[in-house]
Amino acid sequence: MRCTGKLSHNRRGAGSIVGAVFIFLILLSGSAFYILNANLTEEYNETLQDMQQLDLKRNKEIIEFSSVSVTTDNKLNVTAKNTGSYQVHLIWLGLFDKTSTPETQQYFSINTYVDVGETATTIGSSVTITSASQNVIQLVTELGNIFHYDMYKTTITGPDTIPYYQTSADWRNYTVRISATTGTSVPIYFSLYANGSSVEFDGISNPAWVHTDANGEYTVRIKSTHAAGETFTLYVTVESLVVQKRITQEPA
Amino acid sequence: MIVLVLIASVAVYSFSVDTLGSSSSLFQMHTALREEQARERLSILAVWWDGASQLNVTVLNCGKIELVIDAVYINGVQASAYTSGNGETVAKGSIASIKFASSVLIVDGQTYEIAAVTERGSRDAVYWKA
Repeated sequence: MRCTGKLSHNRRGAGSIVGAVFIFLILLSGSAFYILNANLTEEYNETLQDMQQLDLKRNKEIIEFSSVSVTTDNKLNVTAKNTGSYQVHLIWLGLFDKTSTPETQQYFSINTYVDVGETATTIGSSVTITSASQNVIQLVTELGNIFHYDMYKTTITGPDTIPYYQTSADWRNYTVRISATTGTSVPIYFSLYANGSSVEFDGISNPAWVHTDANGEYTVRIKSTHAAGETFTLYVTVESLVVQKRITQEPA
Repeated sequence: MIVLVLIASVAVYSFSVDTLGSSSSLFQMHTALREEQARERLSILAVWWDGASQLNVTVLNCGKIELVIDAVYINGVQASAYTSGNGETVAKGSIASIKFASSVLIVDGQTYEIAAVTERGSRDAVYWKA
């Protein structure tokens, strides 16, 4: 009897140990799952913080168009300044031609970093554009900000070649047409400049500050007196838009 | 007696591990989805209209993860007749063009709310004047 009682006591003790071991295992597993989930939650919170930081940066991105040029070979040339608080990465350039119906929308991939306070030049220099169209330019940043520039529809009409000036018959007319972005015909001030060494405008200085008439036009007479002949560029600058025309003066 | 305790303990342990495991898996899946959604950002860059019923919405993926445009809404009405772009994966930094026939009559000069929604449920909306 004594022997049986001792055996029963031993078995109960062993059973308790087995139970305790399994309770420990359950607690251990629970702790492992808890730690795993806590790590996941921490990672999630870190992601949220990162994205909040990104949103904050996005809200502080500012790009200003310093100038937009259409070169003599009809290429775009955008100069933009970062006036925001963070470096900006420009990744897309959008070009909308609002003259056509329906309008055309094109996007060109770019890769330009602009530091705070810095100015980036020659953005979109491979993009072909015509200043005779009503264009809207978009600069898109990596963080998703969009900056627009409404271009004046501007044309310079006149001959590509002019004679060496000898008589008053050698003046040549160039007509500048500028359409306001709003569509209303109001006088628009712009500057005229020709970079030739012997180029003169009739009745006004070079450069000159002039404005369009009620029809949105301005005509300038140009002469050049470089005996050997030369090629120069006529610049029309409307606000920050620069449109150019290359003109060749024949030799004497 | 020991065998009974052993069987009971194994059963309780298995049940506990299964329960903890499945709830943990659910939590992981849910957290992963929320994390992916948190990393998603999209921006509608432009809306194009052909003058009739065809629209084209250009969307930029400006988030930290690729995304899929699931639906476009015009004034809260979901577009249904997609021509292209819908359901395609858009890589980070890429743009997608979603073409579709508008489910709402587009009138020149009117303003519409255009919203793009991703598969994970992120959304961007713009007011667009036709």
